[in-house]
Amino acid sequence: MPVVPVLALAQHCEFSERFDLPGPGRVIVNVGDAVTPFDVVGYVVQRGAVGAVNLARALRLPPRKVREHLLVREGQSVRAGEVLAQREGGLFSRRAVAPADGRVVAIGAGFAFLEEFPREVAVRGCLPGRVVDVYPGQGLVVAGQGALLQGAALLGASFSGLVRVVVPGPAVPLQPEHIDATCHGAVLVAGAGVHPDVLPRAAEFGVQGLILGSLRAGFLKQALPVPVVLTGGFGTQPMDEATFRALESVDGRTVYALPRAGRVLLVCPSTAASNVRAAEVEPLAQLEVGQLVRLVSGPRAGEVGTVAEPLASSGKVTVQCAGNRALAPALNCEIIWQLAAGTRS
Amino acid sequence: MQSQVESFVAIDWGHATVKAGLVDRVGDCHRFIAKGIAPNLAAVGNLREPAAPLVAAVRDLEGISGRRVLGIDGLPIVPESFGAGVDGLGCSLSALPPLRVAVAALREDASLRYALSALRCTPHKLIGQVSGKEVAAAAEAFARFAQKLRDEAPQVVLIVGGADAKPDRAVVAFVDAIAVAISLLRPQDRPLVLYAGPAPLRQAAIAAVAERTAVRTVDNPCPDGRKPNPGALRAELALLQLALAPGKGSALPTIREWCGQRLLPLPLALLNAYSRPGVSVLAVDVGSQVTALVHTGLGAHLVLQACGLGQGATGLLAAVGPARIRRWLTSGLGEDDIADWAANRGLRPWLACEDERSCELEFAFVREALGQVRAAAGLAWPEAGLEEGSLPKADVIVAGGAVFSSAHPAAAAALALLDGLQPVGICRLAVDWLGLASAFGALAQANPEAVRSALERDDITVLGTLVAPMGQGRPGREALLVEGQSGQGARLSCAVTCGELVRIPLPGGSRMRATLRPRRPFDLGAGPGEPMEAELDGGLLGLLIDARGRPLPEAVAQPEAVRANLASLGG
Repeated sequence: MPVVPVLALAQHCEFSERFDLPGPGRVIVNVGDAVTPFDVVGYVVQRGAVGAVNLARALRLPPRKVREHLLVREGQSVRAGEVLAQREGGLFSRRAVAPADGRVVAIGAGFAFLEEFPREVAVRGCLPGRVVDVYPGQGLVVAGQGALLQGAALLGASFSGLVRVVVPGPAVPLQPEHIDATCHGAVLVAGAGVHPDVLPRAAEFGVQGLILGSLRAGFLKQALPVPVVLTGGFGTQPMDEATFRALESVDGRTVYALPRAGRVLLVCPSTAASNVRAAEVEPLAQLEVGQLVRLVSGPRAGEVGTVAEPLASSGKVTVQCAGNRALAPALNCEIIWQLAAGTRS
Repeated sequence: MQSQVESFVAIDWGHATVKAGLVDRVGDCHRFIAKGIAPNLAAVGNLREPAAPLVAAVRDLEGISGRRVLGIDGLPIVPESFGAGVDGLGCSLSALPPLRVAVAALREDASLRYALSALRCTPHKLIGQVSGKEVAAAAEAFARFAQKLRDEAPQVVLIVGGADAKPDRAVVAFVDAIAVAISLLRPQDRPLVLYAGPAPLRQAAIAAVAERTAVRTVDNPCPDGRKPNPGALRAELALLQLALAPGKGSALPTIREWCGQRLLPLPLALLNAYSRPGVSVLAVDVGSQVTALVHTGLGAHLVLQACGLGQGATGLLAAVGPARIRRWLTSGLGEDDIADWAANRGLRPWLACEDERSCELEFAFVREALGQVRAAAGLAWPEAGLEEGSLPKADVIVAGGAVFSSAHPAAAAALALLDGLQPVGICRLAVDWLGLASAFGALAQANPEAVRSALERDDITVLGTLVAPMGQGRPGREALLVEGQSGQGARLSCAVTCGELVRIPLPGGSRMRATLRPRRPFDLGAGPGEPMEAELDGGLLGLLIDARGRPLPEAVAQPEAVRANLASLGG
């Protein structure tokens, strides 16, 4: 049976993640701390700008003779204007000075390289939950529970807000009239965002983000005024029924949209415990008869059904969708790993 | 003595899918047995288990073939024992991260020009470039270069400059200055210095750098200041892309553990697969992110990044524009639909065509990707002395990539190949039907006979022989007269007019001796209007006589012309 990607749609599960700092730095949270994706959990060191001083030119000496006139050594901190090298010679005395505060990091070939002092940059973006482990200087492990849904793409920056499903069904596109002042601070869920006025209007009313089945790629020609999560892909396909129902189940709760593994994770934390761990979801699995799948490409993209029959020789499968069957390449299917509250299907 | 690899799994680690093909001895020869495939999720995002697609493809192969390849420890069973496992594994890699390179050139001379042409052949990211003049005159420019080295940590700093006949000692001082800039990086992050300069100065260059970082030397890409010789640098860069590919967070450590030394980047694997004494093969592989072109006669390769049907589709679309894609479409899709298709392929590059419209769109992108490599070949292979937009002559042209596999109609594939590459003269056309040619190439050293047998018996499918004269004529006038006799004695006489594409069925395995009489100004290689005798091989499609002219007139890229040409090929 063909191997295809798995889409995780868990209405309630336990999740955990090791979150590493992007470079050497320090972790500032402790075990037991509650964190959200927008909290600073650490700092990394960013090295300062580099400056080069051509000592040989300043002293009018061949590079190999510069070393004997140096007044500083590698690793030494200097102030702007401080003399780095000097050539005594009465009226013809010459010297090279530091252009800015910093540290001498390398000297050679007639040059001195100076580096401005480093600064710290804040690190955010871990999953919402509690810190369960800290690796000093490297990262932390966060664990939490709640709904966890995978989307196809995050266009724009991470966002969060209260989920608000503004359309009656997954095939209904988002229209400007769905957006009003009550949407301020919310994350809107709809089928497909094809109307050109939708995105500017959403930004105008302070919408934090949109979760849509699809969006025309043409919108990407300009920077999007609000971040958008696509659950299906680009085009005009509706949102698949399974994802729409899962989002309906978290209507009114806080959702965080975070980029992970080239995809997007939608996390709605809750305080209730769960006995199922999201880590159990394998990213790839073999298609099996009876499995719930969604079609992700072609004229029936966005439809959900069960695998009726695999046709091994052609690499295709027949999928029983609502009322009729679809024949699709196996690679155009995604297995839906669905978890209703408290149970696994 | 190393034992012969009788059974093997050939793996192709691509940007869209991971394929694993099993080959074993069947009777007195080696045959392809089965293929497993899995979407390469690791190529679109970081997976917790980056080797998961590799394992899934091999598990799929096990399910199809009924043969256990992986042991209970998850490692391949090597060598084959009691019908389980294989004697070896090999892997070709196209999904390698681009090589991060900084270039330092003493002067803007021929050496730099040809070094950059060699660099174009390997997927790379150019971090920065600095010249000797900038280093000497402008400390700010040198500081900017040094900061780029420090912040973006290139894997290779390529230093070029000078002619072998007149080695300039200034090169050594320049290398010394670059080495000082490199010392801004932590020792473990320092790049390899690749010195491609005059032979007499190599030892001095090594001495200037060796204390600070690793250094390698390679032939000067232009030793006499005129005649290009970028081959050695080109091959070195391709090998470095694999050797320096980061292992952390990638499947490479697992692939290395499974395959040992039998690992090659895509273009070198293709060269290995198709190299035959006395036969020049031009092989093209239209992948998901890159399109590769190799010529075995020249021993040259070229890999164009952001030029493919998956992650490379949006880059290709941006490079050529939607109008050039749309001109090949008969289904009337709009520019928005084309942009959606390309963006979706970036999200899920493993997607397959599910209807005619999607197939047609895919072949439109293929034509433009092939056009891009055709245009790039002249710059990338200066030693071949190619005219702009032309390709070196070859006896056989082989097309690979999922779009040329058995899942697609042969006529559409052949037409896309003709429209995109615009081959000239007489050559056989073939396709990599299983999509495993490069994977087999990674194992070519382990058992050349077995690889050749599996490739030629099961993988490569000959479409037929192409006769395509150079030149253009007035539509409706006779362009070429083909007269021949097949091995069975059947006689053929066929006059082809300008602008026509004609298919003459000739089954695979049969051969026809033919006299080809081009009319002036058409030229098959012997001169305008000069006749030629040739042996023409049959194939899945037969003989293809392309008298549409070279270069192809713009009119062939019209929906009606595409429809008519496809019908001529039986599609």
